[in-house]
Amino acid sequence: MRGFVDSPTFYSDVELSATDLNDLSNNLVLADAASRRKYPVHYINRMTGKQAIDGSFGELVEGNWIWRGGFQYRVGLTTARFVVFIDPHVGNMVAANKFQILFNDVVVHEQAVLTGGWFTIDIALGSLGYTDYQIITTICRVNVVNPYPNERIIGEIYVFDAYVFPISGISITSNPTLTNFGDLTATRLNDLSNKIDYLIQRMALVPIMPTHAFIMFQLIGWGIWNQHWLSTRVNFGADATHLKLHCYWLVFSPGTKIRIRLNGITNEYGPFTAGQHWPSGGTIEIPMTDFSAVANTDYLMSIFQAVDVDARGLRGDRLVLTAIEVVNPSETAIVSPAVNEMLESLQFDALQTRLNSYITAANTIDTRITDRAAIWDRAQMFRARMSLDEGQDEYWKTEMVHRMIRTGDILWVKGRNVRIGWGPSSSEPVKGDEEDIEIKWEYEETLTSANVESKIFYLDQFESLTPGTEYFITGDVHYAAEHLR
Amino acid sequence: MAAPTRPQIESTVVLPHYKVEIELEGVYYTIDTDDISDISGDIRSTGSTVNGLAFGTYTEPSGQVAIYRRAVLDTGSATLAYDDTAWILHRMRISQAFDTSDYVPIFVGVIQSFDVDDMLITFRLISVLEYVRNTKIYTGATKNRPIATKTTISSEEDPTQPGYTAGTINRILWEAGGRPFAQYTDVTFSDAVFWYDCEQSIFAPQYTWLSGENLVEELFTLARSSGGQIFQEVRSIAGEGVPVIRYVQPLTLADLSTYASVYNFSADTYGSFRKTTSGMEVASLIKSTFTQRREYVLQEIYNDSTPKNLRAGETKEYDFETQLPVFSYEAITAANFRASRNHDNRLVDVSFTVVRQTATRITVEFENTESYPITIHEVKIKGVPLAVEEEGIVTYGSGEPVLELEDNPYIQSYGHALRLCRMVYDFYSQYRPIITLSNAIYDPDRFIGEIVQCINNDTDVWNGIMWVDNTVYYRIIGIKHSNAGATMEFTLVPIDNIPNRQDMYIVDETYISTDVRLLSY
Repeated sequence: MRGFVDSPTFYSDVELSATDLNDLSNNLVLADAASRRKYPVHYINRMTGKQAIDGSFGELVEGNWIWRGGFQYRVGLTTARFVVFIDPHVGNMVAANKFQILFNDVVVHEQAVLTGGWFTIDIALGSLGYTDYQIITTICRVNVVNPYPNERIIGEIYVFDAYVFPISGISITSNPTLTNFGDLTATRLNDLSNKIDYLIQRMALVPIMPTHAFIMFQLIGWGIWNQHWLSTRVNFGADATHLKLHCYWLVFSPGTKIRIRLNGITNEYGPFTAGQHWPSGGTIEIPMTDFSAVANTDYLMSIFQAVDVDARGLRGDRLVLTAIEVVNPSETAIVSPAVNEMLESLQFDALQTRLNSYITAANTIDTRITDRAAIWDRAQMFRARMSLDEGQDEYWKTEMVHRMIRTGDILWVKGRNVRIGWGPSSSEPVKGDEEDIEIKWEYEETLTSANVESKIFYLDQFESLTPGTEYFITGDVHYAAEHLR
Repeated sequence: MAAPTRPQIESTVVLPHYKVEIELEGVYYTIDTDDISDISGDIRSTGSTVNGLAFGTYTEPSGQVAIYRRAVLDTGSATLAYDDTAWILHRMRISQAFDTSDYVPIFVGVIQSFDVDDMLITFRLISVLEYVRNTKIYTGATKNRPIATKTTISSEEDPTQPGYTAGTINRILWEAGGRPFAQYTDVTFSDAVFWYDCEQSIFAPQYTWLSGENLVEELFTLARSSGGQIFQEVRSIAGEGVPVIRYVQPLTLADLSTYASVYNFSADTYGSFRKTTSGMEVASLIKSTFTQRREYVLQEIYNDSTPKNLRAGETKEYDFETQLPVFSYEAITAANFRASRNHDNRLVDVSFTVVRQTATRITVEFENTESYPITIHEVKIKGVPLAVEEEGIVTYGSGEPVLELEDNPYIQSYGHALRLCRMVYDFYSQYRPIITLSNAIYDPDRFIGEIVQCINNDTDVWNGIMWVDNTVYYRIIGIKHSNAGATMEFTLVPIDNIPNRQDMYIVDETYISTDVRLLSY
């Protein structure tokens, strides 16, 4: 299966090669598709106490975390940013409790939790001594003053966004300015070739994060009017016009809807058909005009379940959100692959037109990358499983697995006992523990040992894991992300 | 005297006379003509006997000089016997003259071996490629480097100079002692062992490196990966014959754009002809494998925990061979080595010098500046390796016969394999008989690679068709001389329907909007 290839070098006094032009054209088609990457939604989880992900009441104990994940340091990145909302429960929290951010188990940020509100926390990366490509395990937590069970910290803290930037600070090959073809010069051809390589390299800098498979956010149990489902930040960039929610549902309560609040406007979508026996799946597509949202602006989006309460009371509805995307459904490919035939006879003005169409495409892709800073100038942090502690992590190990559809060539991972699986899956009871099940895939590969390791994998080395294939990442994953190259 | 004229050359009365010289310490000494029994030679541009346009087939000129055993060489300061192993790899030069003309060099070769019998000493001569065979090179990896770059009066061919971007064939020939013929003057490159002349290749493998291979084989492997031919010819500079290794790219094999007129082999210029047509190497379906590599991210590419002991003050050099070829290395510092003093296990920074870094080997010289013995416990080196990303097979054409191109490490992408298959198809799919013209008059103006015609060459016709087609052009692919230069034999191949450069768009040439040209492979 052909992916990007390094663009060719053109030499003076050499015959113009159809194959070289096809390489440029094919790379542009791929770059066009890659540049329409969706905005990376950062799924949030809330903490502490009050209500944990599984609906139970949680408590902060030693080892708990609010949020955990990781990022990969690259020389040129200057800042790690966290957008945090703190809702303190004064009386339960004390002044000695601090909100802390740890990089590789070292506290790099600390602040009081008794002061509530929104906080944009910027952590300078330059002085932390990281090396290029180093993967940093990241934890947000509230420190424990008195060991459990004496201390019950009740409050809510949300990490709404976490990313490192600027991607544009990472040094790569230069970005040539293109001029239309008059004469057939090696300089112009190589500028075009180098431009395409630049675009590919530029996009390859931004990691592609896995989603959380099976159960992303799930309301289990009884439907509650205006049940808060999740909140996250979205940015429609310069071009995205629609919000897409990919869901499946098993609904018993009549009139069940999804209620979304964004930019101070609340809208409802649905209702879902009640009385089902099998889950239904679908996509809810919402124009951003519904919320008067404007481009290139970060918004807080909250999603609720809205249920009509009828005489029969509330039922055990199940609504599962598997992915959130922001897209421009009317955006189409800008590049049509021109087939350059070997020994093709061509009038010079037709050749100029063909080459100039490549320039137009390359410039359009470049502009798209520049205009969509929320996608291309940040590296969203990896979001680890949303369990609160080691015990819950065990519980979720088969139900909230990291999932990728292979898009790139490279997979970086950090963690312990990290494995990937793809192909048909089956579940089997764990020996000696009838309540626990283990999922097996047709193909499985162990990526790391029982020690925390950072490793890089070239996905072509795994048989049948071709681009477009779905795969799952299991184990104690501190970080996992694909790159185009 | 003057260069031989056409009447002198074509005279049937006066035969050419010859001169044989042997080189000793850079000076050629003439062997007395009376001591020479016979000379002969054979120069070809292809090793294939059935396909005159085959790419990169191994070929070397060969020659033979027989002298009487009594002969000795008078150098002016010493007389030397020829029956001496010291003559191996020394050069011999054969020149011919007509009537009172200048001598024209026709062959320069290297003494590969000799026989002595009761009358004669017979020297067998081969190509100056023998110098290439005895050269070993380790280079770093280069990217998108053409297999050959055009040698010009100003092309930078010295790999030690900044801005060096010459092709791999140029590099091999330079390192073996060759120098660019385009830069020949009386004073430049007095150290030249031979000369070379390259055309710009049309392909550039993604990654190229050399790591101690047999470089003669490597030259022809490179040519097979990109099309074209490598052969030796002799050129004359002020009457001096110098051996020149040439690389000719495929799209100039049939290029007539530089010819003001074309020589015609008419019937009276040779004694007999032979036409050989073979189905071997004619193919309708071409297959080629490719192995695509790519640069992986910076990572540890060498780790060696074998203890290396250095006595106090000792200096030692170590070669570290990497498993994968390395495109670039991270700068090596003392942190790459873990060393300690033996007597108290204190860690020390070992003094070192990186002697050379090539694609497959790093050579480091360590110096123990301590007053005590030390041990280097670990060597770790980081770099960007070139790993195999994809392997595949590409085909072009259909039906039979099928020609499977041999695996070639320089075919590194789908696109490269496809264009090579298509080009081989265009050059190999048509029957091209080999024409041999024997007992021709000795003609020093003819040269390997020359495009000629055969009009009115033979009256024999069959069913109205000339045995030797008189409507097409031919390329000279072989020249033999024998009988001490009395006769020659030419081998020709027709070049009709071969794509050539003059029909194609050339980068950096100027065109107007209505010009029509072809895209190349």
